[in-house]
Amino acid sequence: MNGLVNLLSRRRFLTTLVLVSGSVLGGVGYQALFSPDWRKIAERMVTLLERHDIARQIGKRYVELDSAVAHLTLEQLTESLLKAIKLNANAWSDATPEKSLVLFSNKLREDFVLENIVKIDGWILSETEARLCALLHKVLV
Amino acid sequence: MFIDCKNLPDNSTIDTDVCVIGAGAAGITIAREFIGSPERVAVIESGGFKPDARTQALYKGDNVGLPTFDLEVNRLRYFGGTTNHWAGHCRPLDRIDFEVRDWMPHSGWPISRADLESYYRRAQPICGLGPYEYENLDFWTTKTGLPDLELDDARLKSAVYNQSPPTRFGKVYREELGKATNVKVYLNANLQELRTDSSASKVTQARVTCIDGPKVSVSARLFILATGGMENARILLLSDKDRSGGLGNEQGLVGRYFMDHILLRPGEDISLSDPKLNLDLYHSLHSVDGGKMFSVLASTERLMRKERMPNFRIHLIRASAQNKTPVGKIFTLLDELADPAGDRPRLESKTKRDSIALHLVLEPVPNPDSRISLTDKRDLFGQKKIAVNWQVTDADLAAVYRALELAALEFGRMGYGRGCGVIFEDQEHWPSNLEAGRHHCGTTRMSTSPKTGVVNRDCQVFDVPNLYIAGSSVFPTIGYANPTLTIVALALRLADHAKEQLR
Ligand SMILES: Cc1cc2nc3c(=O)[nH]c(=O)nc-3n(C[C@H](O)[C@H](O)[C@H](O)COP(=O)(O)OP(=O)(O)OC[C@H]3O[C@@H](n4cnc5c(N)ncnc54)[C@H](O)[C@@H]3O)c2cc1C
Repeated sequence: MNGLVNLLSRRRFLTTLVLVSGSVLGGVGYQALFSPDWRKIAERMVTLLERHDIARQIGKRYVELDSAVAHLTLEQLTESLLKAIKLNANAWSDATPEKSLVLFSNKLREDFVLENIVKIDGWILSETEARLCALLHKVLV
Repeated sequence: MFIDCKNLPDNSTIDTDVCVIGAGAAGITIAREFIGSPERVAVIESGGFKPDARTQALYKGDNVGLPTFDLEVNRLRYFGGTTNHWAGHCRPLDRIDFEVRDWMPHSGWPISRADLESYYRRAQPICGLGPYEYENLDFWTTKTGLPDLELDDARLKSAVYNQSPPTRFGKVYREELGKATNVKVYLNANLQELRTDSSASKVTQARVTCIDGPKVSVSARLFILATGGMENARILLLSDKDRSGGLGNEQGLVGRYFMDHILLRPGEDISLSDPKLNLDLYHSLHSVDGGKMFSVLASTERLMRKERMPNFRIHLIRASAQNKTPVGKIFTLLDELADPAGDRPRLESKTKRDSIALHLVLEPVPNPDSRISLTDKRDLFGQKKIAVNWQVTDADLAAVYRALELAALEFGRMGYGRGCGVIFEDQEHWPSNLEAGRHHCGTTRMSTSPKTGVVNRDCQVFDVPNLYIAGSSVFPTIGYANPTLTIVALALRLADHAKEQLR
């Protein structure tokens, strides 16, 4: 279970990680030289979700119900989620956990306004949040 | 004054100015309006002061439509009528409910909300309600200090409901009617039929019978039928000696367009992402200035016009979820940052909840095939019983689906939780918990023309100038509001009109 306390400490950890990696490499610009580590991005992305036990179930069901999502690789799904919040991999790495949280939160709201939604076993979820759950499922398999 | 009809001589005649048949919310309201007036009023009430099994059995009938009706239990047949067990939820119909809505077949009242406004205000204390502030949510949030949800006006709004104690009309107004000298209430008096003059243009007599008692007749200048949303139609259909097919039934409309609110309890659960979300305004009753209120979610005019929807309301109920998976909790962090209004009034609730249940109440599309008709089965007096064929349509189902979807969208948008309902798994079929609201309407609908209705804007049966109908059977459409406040408002209006006619 991901309690708020766990998550906050994880977020603090991630912030530290971003700062450390930035300084080690001598600045974020250098990151562009490398191809993105999609798994790492995905792993960080799914920390925005809580209750991973349930989120994973939802993600699994989404993948079962939607073949288009099922066919996406972890990389493709992660990239699509970055696109949804209008960031590329570099910008994501630069973004603080707080900023990434805000961007995804706003995207969820937008989904509910624009009715970009999916129905999974009777649940109405924003497409973005359902994809985050699917990503968690793919990260963990 | 109360008179037990059983004590009257057989074949006697009651001579009066106004004969009101039925002493429920409508009949009692009309009778009270005449207290102290120069007119003599006879109220003919089937029951006594207490329920009686044989009298109640006169309401028995067959349900040949959707299997949710229990005709006998829904309606109560004794002094005070069904208000002896009503729940007391009150609200006027919305302005739009009276309009012709081009997307809703057979919609449009011949009167507007403005025509009823002053009567609604008068009806308010009669139903034991507090301040008449239905369109002013701020009044209640200020008084209670409770936050309302920041809903998107293009979709939903918070609407005000008032709560009656609930007023048991038979108990509350018994003494007053008992003391009235010009109003006589005849108990244990069962109307059998209405008879007209030879040209069948005027009611001359009401034939009344007691169980194990005399048969009497009532002659009056004006007759007002107030026997409830189903029985009003039955009486007109039974009164077929002078006009074939029954009174007011030249177009075959009596009994048709039978409507009731479509209920899904629950229609959906919301798994909360914020367990301390303060929904007290919606969950509990709040005492304000001598009245009680709570709030519901309701469709906005914008939504109805844009999406061609019927009217609906949604109760937010403290109840455990059918689907107990706390999906909302997945998004707690992401939802915490949602602040659509920019200034979230996050008063925290004292009690934590994982979920709430949404109870949907939907306005049905008027449907001529949904109807009440007479059968060949007979009651104790040998009168034909009714069969009720309550129908709902695909249009109703589509509206149910959309209403619940909109609620889920709004809870997600506001960042408060995620919706889950069986209907989202199967859009084609009605969920098994479909119920009727116990609000029997439409069977003697009000209209501008006898081609499309049974009564005119004054609730007078077309072509029968001295016969009027009181009660929800005259509603051509029913919005989402429970009917009794409107029944009482219309009864007050009818009483004013009747006085004018008599003087
Ligand atoms: C369980 C339940 C809960 C409800 N809750 C609400 C609510 O919260 N809010 C709301 O607005 N509404 C509610 N209602 C509906 C409300 O009770 C009715 O709208 C209201 O009572 C209708 O008033 P009425 O006078 O038209 O009919 P009734 O109250 O039914 O009165 C009809 C009267 O006519 C008499 N009668 C019938 N036939 C004859 C005859 N042949 N001869 C002589 N007398 C006759 C009956 O004995 C009765 O006294 C509820 C109904 C039920 C069943």
